[in-house]
Amino acid sequence: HFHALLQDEVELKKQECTDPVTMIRSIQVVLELCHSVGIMDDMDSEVIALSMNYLQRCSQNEKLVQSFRKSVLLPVACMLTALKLCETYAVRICDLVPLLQPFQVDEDEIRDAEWAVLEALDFNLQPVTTSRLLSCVLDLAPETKRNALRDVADI
Amino acid sequence: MVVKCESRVSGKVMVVKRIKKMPSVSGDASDEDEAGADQGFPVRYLREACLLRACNHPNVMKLEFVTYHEGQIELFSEFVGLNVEDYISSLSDEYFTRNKQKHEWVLQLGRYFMKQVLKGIDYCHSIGILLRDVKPRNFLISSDGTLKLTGFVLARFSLLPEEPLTQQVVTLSYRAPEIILGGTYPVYTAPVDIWSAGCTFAEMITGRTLFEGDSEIGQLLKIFKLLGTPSDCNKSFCFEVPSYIELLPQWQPQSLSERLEGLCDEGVDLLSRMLLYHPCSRITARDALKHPYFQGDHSLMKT
Repeated sequence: HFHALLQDEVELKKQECTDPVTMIRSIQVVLELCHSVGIMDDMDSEVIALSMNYLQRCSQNEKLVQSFRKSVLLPVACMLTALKLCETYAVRICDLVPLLQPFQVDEDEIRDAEWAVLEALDFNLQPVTTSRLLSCVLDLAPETKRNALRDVADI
Repeated sequence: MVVKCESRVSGKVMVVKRIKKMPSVSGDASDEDEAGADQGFPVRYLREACLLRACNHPNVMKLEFVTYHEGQIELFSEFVGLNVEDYISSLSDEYFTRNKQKHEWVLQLGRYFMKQVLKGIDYCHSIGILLRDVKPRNFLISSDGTLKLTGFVLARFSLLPEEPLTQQVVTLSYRAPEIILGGTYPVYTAPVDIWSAGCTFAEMITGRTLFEGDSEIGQLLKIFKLLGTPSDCNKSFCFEVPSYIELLPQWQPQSLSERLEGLCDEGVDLLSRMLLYHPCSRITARDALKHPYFQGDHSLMKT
């Protein structure tokens, strides 16, 4: 399974990261890779959801996408950022490099990509918390129902 | 290192928090904790910047921007001024002595500040931020008397369902009992900030730390001596009640109004609701703002 994934990566390497599908596939590969060597047993859905969210937002920044020609760098940086925010796993950059060997990325490239992602997202990294979700629901609710919903939310 | 600076472009005065250069992979191991080892952008500062960025409220300090160059991180925030702890320390004993005119002013100031403290906390809780380090030092006073919440190093986005979190949060004197009694990884949430806000409130009124223990057990003893040793029913808030609890003396609750001389009944009532043992019974920041203590016009008179 691991070797099959590596083959996939080599194919991905040939593509540019301007295609969102490629990017999403890239992050899936990265997650699979990390999982396959057992460094992320506790990987949870929030990390994946956040990684995807960051990746989607970054892909809209053409300048950022153009500056990282290696398709895997942005997904890795997004995943690294999401992991840190969720505190799921303290992944070390030097551990990521051998996993990404087919892409031939080095540690400095990952660091640069991470900062570029943070800068592009302007540190707006917050996950969707329950409180925020409830606020959105309340905003969408009809005026007449809001007080009742607010009482339920308070409980 | 935190320094004050002025923008050459806008002329805006800001404070900049400089974090030392991150080590390389082969760098000094002693630097690893501070800079997040080989994890790229340090986790604690990533979280601090991200949390501050998520906030937009007059009672929360504004993060202007972040720079990151050759491993050195700089967080630029608006310049506010003195923190509440230093301000309290600068007041003479006369301000905290009952029946003195200056004491009356401190009581008004406490109410004025406390309302802003709760507004800041309520805002953070409403967007899902658990502060975990509410204390007088983390409230800055601007030149127009506005209080701004800072100190987001220990803050985090709250989780639901609740998960065990670290015990190493909140300065000991302001730490809620459910954290101290919760074992290595206690389960706690927003009410821990309300407990800390209660301690902050008392400190603003008396000029002294309400519970000043020198260790976790010492802190518990200080709390129990004033608020009474919790009954069996109240102990249900603990994740794993340590066995030594049974050995502690059974203190009866003391009168808060005696401890906080001069504070009106509404103020004492509010404080007592903020210092309830059971987190679920503790008043929320939003309800505290609706408390009779804050009703009516309480503008600050000049001395």
